[in-house]
Amino acid sequence: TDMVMTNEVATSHWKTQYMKEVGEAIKKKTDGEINPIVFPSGQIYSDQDALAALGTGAVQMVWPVSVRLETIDQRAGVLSLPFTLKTADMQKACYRQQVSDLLTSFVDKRNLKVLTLLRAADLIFLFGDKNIDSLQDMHGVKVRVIGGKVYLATMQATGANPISMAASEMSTALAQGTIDGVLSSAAGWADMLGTSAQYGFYVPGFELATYAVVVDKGWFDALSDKDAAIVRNSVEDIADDQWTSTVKKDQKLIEEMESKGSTYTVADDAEIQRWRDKMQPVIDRFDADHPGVVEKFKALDSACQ
Amino acid sequence: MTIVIALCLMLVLLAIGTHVAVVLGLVTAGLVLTVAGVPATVIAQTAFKSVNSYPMLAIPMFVLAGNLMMKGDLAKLMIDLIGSLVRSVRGGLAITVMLSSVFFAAVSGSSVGSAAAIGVATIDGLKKERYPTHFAAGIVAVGGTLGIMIPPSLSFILIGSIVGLPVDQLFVAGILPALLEATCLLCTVAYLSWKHQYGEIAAAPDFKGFGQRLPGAFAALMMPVLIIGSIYGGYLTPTEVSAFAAAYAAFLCVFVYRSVRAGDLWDAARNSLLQTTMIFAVVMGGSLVAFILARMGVSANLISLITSLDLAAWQFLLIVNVLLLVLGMFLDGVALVVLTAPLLFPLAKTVGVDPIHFAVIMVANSEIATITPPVGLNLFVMSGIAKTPVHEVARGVLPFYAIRLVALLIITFVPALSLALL
Amino acid sequence: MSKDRNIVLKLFESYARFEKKYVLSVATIMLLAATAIMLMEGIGRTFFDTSFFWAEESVRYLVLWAFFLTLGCAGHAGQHIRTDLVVEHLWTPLRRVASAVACLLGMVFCGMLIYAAIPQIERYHSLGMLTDSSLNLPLWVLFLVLPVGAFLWGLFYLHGLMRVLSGHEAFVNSHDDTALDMTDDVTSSDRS
Ligand code: NA
Ligand code: NA
Repeated sequence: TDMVMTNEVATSHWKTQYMKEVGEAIKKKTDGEINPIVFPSGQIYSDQDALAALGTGAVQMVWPVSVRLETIDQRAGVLSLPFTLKTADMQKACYRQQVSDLLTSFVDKRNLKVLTLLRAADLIFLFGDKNIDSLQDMHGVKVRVIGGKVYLATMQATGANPISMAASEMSTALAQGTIDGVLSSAAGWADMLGTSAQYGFYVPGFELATYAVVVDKGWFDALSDKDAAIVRNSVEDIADDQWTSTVKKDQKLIEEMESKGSTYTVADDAEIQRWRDKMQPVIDRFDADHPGVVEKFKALDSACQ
Repeated sequence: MTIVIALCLMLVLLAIGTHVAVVLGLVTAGLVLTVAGVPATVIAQTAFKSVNSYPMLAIPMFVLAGNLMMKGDLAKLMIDLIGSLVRSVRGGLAITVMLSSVFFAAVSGSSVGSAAAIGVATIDGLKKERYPTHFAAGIVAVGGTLGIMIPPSLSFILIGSIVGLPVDQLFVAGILPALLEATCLLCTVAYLSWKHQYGEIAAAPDFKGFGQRLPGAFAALMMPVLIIGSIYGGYLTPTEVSAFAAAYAAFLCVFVYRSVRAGDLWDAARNSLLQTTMIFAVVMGGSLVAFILARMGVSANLISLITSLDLAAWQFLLIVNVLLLVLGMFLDGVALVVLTAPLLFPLAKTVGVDPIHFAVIMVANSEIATITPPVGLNLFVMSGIAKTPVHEVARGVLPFYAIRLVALLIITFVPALSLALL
Repeated sequence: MSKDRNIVLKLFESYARFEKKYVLSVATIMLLAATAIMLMEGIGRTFFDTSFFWAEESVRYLVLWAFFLTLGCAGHAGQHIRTDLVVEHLWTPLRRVASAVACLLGMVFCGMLIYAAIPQIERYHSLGMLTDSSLNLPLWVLFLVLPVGAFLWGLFYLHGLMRVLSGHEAFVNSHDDTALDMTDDVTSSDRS
């Protein structure tokens, strides 16, 4: 049977390549019993639409940015809280599994299942012609952020003016100075914004964005134990490699941008601490709105084997 | 095979007078139900998301801006201004009409909008000066097409939102090709007027009249400057500028020229919405077609076919132009873009054609499609305004086809024309 | 033509007038509101450094609603694109049949949209999915406009079918002078 997988990034993006690899692995290991088809670059669905199509039979698997799950259950926002998710922890399969299970517990009544999490990006601030590299400088600058309540609250806490803007307008807006900056990724810098963003600023640990590998739970549960294991393992195999290799890929992209004359600043420890202190209220507020969720997250065992 | 049957069915349904949106949607919906594992819900989801797109929001607002300027007789203002200088040559009024089309194209986003505005303002005058009706209707229909090549342009917005290209860059890319086309059209109008001794000639250029009219026209002349300026000055995004254009047009008509009463604004808004609905309905049908082509793997197969043929870029572009010209007979500009863009852009990429250049080629073809019978909106509109049958308008347009084709070839094979200003 | 049919036709005509008066007006207000919000967002961002997080989304859904609600009105105003070049040259009874088929096809498509929308609305409902922004609108409610709009559009085709059956033209074209006033006086808009 066909297994439809969709994404909204370009065919050249590594996400499409990983998706194809997962598809091929599943096809091979099930002897073609499951026939995955990948539709990249929003050909048939945007990630949000694909998420809504899970459970109708039109799509079986999609890898949206985890923040999209907030539109289904706001507790999923815990992953977007600043200084919460850590790359070193997520590189361990057993820890990733616990985080995925936590997410699944928020959405399984909606007939969705999160198989694993992939690394999307360490978010960085990209500025047009302002070299902003401290919390102080953030005050009053216009920064475009993607949707999601937690991101919005986080941006507000930095003192910047968060701007909501369609992705299609972002690149022009930055180039023409309509906005001062965007919160984006190394890939976004290299592929979409290019040299119209002259300055990059990274606060380590601030925001680690992830892709949630979401499947139609009804479809997944109906698979034979063998096939279900194959699907799960094929994705997990990719995740293992992906959590380390994309860190390097991003580093390379940033070096490329530097070689094109852009400036890239990484916050030092003292600066990071200032950011941490400033962000604490966002976490407290989330904790008050969704009692117990932060606690559950902190209780996950990062020392697991 | 299924696809061929579906295509034939589409042509039959179009021929019996079914609405284009229904034909596209219904045939696709039929296909959806034949593909195993594709639930009917995709029809609803695709129809919904097809118009749930931020860049496309510029369409109703540019349509509204265009309608307001039409109601406010802004076209007449331009024609009087330009006419005071140009009327002294043979075919002066016809040339004035063509020059006014160029100006109006710079404030209106649509081909039909431009043609209607210029047509309403000039057809009677042209007839009075003994220009044959078919020629008068023809030049307005052809001149109107510049509306989608000169920014702002609904077609570039459509392509930008369907394919994901920056609209501001597309706008800039259209400028030089549009100037080329405008020059070609002006020369043809001058030549035809001279050859057939059309129209009357004023004694001398009326510089005094020009000077007197200029201050009055200033606010209208500023419109393209403000539109482009507010994008490149970093004040507004390309989509937001459409709302500004509508507001500025309303301001001009009601307060500056007082040619429109506040109540007429309401009517203009209602009509603009209906015209938008027409465009969006075709977009909706087209997205359904695009969905099923992608889902059935037709798009992917075509891409691998083209790749395996190892076509040179020029061969590919030649094929595409022939295809678009043929399709353009049966489809209108909007439908043409909506139906072919999702398929052709990935192909163009595989043969190494710059997507922005390709967008300009596609818009040049949509311009021609709008004046190619049997389905050509500008022909229909001018038939209504000039009160003459559609085939008469087509007769008036006929001499312009050759020059349009030459311009199309230049645009196709000189990428620099589209890319130089970027 | 029978008297009953004319009563049905009259009913449809009064409905078309109602649609033009109220549905189109409501949708037009949505379009104007969208225009105003977009301007406000631009002004707010440029001059006051603020952004309204509901602006982009609300503008999108306002225009989307306005579009679906006016599919039927656009039909009555003769706006939908079609070609009558072939049909125009047909023998009158054949032309009638063609128009009737065109109307029936329109009804089938609208029916299909409604049929396809209902399970998707149920899915949005069971997902509990909300919009991206702070508006927190449930998507299943926003999606309702699709079947509603398709229903209104379908009514237009049913009206067209009734007109064909009573000896009128099914559709008018917007480039006919009378098109925009069609719903004010149905018979006068028939092309001779
Ligand atoms: Na234009
Ligand atoms: Na045509």
